Amino acid sequence: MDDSTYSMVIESAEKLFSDRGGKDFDPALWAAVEEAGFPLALLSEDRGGYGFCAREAFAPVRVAAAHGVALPLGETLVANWALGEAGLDPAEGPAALAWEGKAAVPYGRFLKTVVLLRETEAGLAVFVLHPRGDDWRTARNYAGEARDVLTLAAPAQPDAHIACAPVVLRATLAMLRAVQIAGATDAVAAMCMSYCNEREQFGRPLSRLQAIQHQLAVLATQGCAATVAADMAVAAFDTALAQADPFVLTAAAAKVRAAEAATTVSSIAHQVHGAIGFSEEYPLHRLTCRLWSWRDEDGSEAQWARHLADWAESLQSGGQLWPALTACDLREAT
Amino acid sequence: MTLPTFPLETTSTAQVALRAEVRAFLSDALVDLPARERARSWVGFDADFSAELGKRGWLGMTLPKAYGGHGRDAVDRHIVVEELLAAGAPVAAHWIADRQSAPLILRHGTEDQRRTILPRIAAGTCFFGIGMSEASSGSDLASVRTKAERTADGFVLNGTKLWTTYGHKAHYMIVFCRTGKSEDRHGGFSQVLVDMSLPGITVSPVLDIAGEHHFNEVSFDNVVLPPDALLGEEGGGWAQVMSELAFERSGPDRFLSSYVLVEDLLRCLKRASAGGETTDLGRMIARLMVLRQMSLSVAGRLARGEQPVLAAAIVKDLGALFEQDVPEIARRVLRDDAADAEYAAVFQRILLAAPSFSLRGGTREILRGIIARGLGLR
Repeated sequence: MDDSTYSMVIESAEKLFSDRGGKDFDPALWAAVEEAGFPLALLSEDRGGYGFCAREAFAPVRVAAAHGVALPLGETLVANWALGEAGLDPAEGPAALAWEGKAAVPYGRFLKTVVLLRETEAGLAVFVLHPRGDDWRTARNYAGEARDVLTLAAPAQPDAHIACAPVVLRATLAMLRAVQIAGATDAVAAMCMSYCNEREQFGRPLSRLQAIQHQLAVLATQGCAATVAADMAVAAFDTALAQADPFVLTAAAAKVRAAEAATTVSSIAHQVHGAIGFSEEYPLHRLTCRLWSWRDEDGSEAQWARHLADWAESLQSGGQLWPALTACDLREAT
Repeated sequence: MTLPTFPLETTSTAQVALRAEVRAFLSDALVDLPARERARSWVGFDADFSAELGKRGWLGMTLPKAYGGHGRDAVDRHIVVEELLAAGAPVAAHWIADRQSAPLILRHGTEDQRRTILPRIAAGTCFFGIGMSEASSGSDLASVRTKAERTADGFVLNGTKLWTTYGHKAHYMIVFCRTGKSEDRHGGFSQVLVDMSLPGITVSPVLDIAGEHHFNEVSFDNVVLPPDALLGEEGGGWAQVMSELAFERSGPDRFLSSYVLVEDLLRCLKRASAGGETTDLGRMIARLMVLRQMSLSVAGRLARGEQPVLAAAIVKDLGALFEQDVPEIARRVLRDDAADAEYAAVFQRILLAAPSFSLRGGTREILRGIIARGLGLR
């Protein structure tokens, strides 16, 4: 694997997002993100993008999540990809996919463009909308990230159709949350490690206490699992349209596994931080509250788990799970 | 990134073909083996089956051809092992030899030891026992008392090893023992290669909680060993045994021990008319999919000549939790009336084997200590 582009992307994302975490949308930071070209990374060069593979394109999303940055970066990246697949131009400004009449839209009130999706008999219809401030009923998730409900009705005629099953787009958004969880769990691990190395009780750093070491070891194993979960879904995304089934299953597993990890990681992080981690001024909650929200956004952990269970139970009678699992293995690019 | 990384591995067309070849062979070879027998996982012993695998080139896969091996990499071996374990094949006869003794002998053995033993391991006809634990030395391996004393023409071995899986069928044991005094707690140890047909060796069965015999106590009473019984460096046993343990820690045997129950659970769920609450089933599948990728990632790093000790410990810790959760999840998702006698037998076997999953090959607590050290916490 040629890692040079990936490393370059990570480096420039780190430079951009370090110390820029917060609760509210930051217009100046968004301008810098657009300048860096991150939201167009998945589009081919003839569509004005960079033709990055998914691993490269989603890397800044993970870095942004690790720093607790409040921007719809992944949402815009995916919206632009969907627009491209629908044969439309990339969105102006921050954008997000939204399902008609359904869940809250990430950063709704700050978006320039909403790519509204409707399931029709003719396929997945796409409406490109530009809502105004009063088209939103505002709300926030546990971390204070805007999660607004669109009150604007779509016109009768769609702008285009996307030739893919709706579940592929749902799985893509679930994968996005898994990527964010992976980024945030890694940052939480870093925070816990440095806190436990510095904080002294009983005359020595917490990290010298075996009970704490074992808690941090568990946290690390869960963080690694979340990262691998996200990585495998992102790798499968490269062939999401040609091989929808393996991608959807891998993304479902990624969301479920990352969410499970998020639960354990948050719990251990607060435990080892003691009371200080429970205070408003300490930055841990910016990450843990996001983890608690992301677990169940874009399809709850339980919903995607049932998706996997239904799939396993629907395998033809006499058929076994094992061959179906190995059929999802990531294949070498040919 | 703060946490250890697990680079993704992709599968080539040749690897897909290898998997298919092994799977086709197993579906024929194991057609008459009931699920309750498959549930023995890597504790099921069948010498003929091991010899057949040897004939097909699926043992000693990573050994050089000069020693009867096949010059393949750790990922190819990983694929074969995954298929064997997912199918519940009886692999115990060759298991220890193929997994850890052969790579240990290849790395530390003399040319003569390699030429004598490795081809027989690759043929599936030479079986090994592990000689690490003793009655007073479990996790604290540095407290072993078994001793090999130098004599004019070799060594004399005295002591008693415990929990030696299939010691009663092994041709050799690699015994971790004291060969000298040392100020260093980890010094003065060596590994010796013991031919189990030598006089002075007594193998006594130790039954597990299911009443099954695979463990043994192996006593050495003034066993006279030739000088070439020394494996590797005299006094270098600690480092050798630690790297031997690392071979044990990241493979598919660390998350597939209860896999036969997963398939049998699904068989019964499909028979049941009304679906129950299956969220836990989906979560189990998600964990398995991620574990497979993590274990494969470690195999990829081994294939590139790395020694991913930390990553291997992480896979084993997560894998043992998964293996032990499988029967508990099965209890929650399957209705009483959907189980049959075969399922009940599989379930019992897995349930009664499960406590060992987080003990063998390094306890959960030892692994978490290794992980903490890897994170720079101690």
